[in-house]
Amino acid sequence: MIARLLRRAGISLIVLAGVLLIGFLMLQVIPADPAVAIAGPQGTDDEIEAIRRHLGLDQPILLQFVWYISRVVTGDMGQSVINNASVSAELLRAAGPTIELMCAAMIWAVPTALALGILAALRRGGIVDRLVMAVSVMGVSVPVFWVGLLMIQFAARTRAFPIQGRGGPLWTAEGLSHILLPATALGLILVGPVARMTRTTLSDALHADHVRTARAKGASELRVVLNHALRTALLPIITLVGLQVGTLMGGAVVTETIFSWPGVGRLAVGSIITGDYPMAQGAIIFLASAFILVNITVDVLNELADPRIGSRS
Amino acid sequence: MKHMTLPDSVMTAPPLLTVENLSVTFRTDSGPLPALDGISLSIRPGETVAVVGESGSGKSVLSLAVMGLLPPTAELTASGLIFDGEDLQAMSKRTRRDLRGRDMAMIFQEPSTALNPVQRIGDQLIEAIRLHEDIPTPKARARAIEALAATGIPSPELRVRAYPHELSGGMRQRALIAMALIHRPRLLIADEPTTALDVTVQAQILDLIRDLARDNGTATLFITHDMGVVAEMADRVAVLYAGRMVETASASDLFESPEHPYTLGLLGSMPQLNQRGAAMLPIAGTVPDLRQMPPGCHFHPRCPFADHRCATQRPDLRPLAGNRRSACHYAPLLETLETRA
Repeated sequence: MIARLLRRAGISLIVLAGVLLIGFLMLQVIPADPAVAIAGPQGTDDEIEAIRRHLGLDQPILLQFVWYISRVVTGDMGQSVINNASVSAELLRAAGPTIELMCAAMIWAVPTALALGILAALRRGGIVDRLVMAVSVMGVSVPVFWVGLLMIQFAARTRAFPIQGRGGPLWTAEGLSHILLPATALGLILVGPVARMTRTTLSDALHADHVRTARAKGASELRVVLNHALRTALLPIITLVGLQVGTLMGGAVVTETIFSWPGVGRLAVGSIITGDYPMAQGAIIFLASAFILVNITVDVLNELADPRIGSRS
Repeated sequence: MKHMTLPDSVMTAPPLLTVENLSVTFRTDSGPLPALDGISLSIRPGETVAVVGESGSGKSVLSLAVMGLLPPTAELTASGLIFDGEDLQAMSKRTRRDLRGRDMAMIFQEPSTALNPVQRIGDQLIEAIRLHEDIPTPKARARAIEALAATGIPSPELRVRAYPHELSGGMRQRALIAMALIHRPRLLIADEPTTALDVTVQAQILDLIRDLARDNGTATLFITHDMGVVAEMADRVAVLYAGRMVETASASDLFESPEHPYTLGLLGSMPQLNQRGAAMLPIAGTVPDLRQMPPGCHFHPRCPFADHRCATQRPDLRPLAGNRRSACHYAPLLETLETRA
């Protein structure tokens, strides 16, 4: 298992290098010249030239890339061209709220989706099943920004919940009420696919031979469903939830923007709009790394859930 | 062939399981599918009854019906389904569940899929123990190791920690047998337990089932399509064809003089090791579609002895001399052949 994990980490490093390269090249192809941006509207050609030399922009691209990598490795992702703040520090500050929002979304959405999927699988073809499937198709089809806007519309009219920003730590009432709407909107992305996957894999698993064995042992129906059928059906569900975390990060960008949530997503969108390229680059690298990390975690979880995986290699 | 006769006490004891006039019909999208039609059968304590037939004959449905494991799409009617003096049909689901695994247990055909793939062998056995007995886990674990040892699994104290995929097919089946017999059930249903195994392992597993059943005084309902296995295991045999019982007799009578052309066909398609050169005679044709049964005797399109009477008139399962029954108009066959010739 440890060998597999190491190999997995090695592959991830290559992917990460690719992400860095793309992030770096992005800065090369954009029309804006960072030296011009730093010098400001009143900067003379000499000043711009001096800044360019100071930043090493007159050196060959390959050399610049090596410098860039060595700086990123030490955690230095440069400064914002807007307010000169350290990109790393800004990202670290924004990471907390984003993780908070994603966890809050998953904490309600995954159990809800599992419950809906189980209900649908047990009463396949029944009213509950059709209702669950209809709701989940709707969840998949309706874009998150639209749901978010509807919620804001509703909340603004009834003044039931705050619709802007973060209200503080989650253990305070203020913090909870602020996260409620964005977490609900974001979580809705997950419910549909996970519920459908649970329904499909569980109804297959319910017909599996080993589930029949469990019944023949005299296990109760609840035990049969949860301990035997769901336990083996869990594998593709874990994989899907993992993949959905990626979608969730995309959704977080939108959700954070709509609800002014001070996370990485809003930082990325804001920096792209204002032309703060170092910041945008940092945010993209950050999101990509997070995605890689999630995938590794899913692999490990899968291995824990299914003993057959580890011994196959 | 099995020549050991049962003691008289077994032959006269009241039956452990009585199935009377059992019919099972599945509801399907293309209409009702009759899988079993009017099956009557009984097993006495310690006895081994083999249920034989081709695939589609309904023999697995019979075992699931007795266990109470039919899917919800199945509709069961019976004038009697009595286990140990209790009416199974009148039982609450809860009581029925308590019987399963404790008083009646089952071994399935595919050892590779019948075990939970993500649970250690030991944990699956411990679950089986603790479902019916309130004992602490360490004690149950010791019992599980004992049970595995009794099935001849080498170093059972290591195997309890193994996952099913880490064991061979034969070992998995041994583990399933250990699990089924852990509460010394009164009735064991073995549904083709050796079909998926290597020939060399088959004999070992058959020996194991027979020995453990004898030691525990367990009655065995043995489902198979293999007449060789029947000869090895059974005291009595019931032959099913297309959901109906066509013949029932003691194993020795059945092998000596089959009284239904279908049984004759099954015996003819059994390879004979000691009769080198003797031709294997497969039964012509296939099992009819259960939705479109031929009129009269269901077997008549494939029967070498069939005449106009068989095509129109359905034969009942009627008693013959020597405590046996056959559903053929022309049983006893030997007499018929003599008069025809």
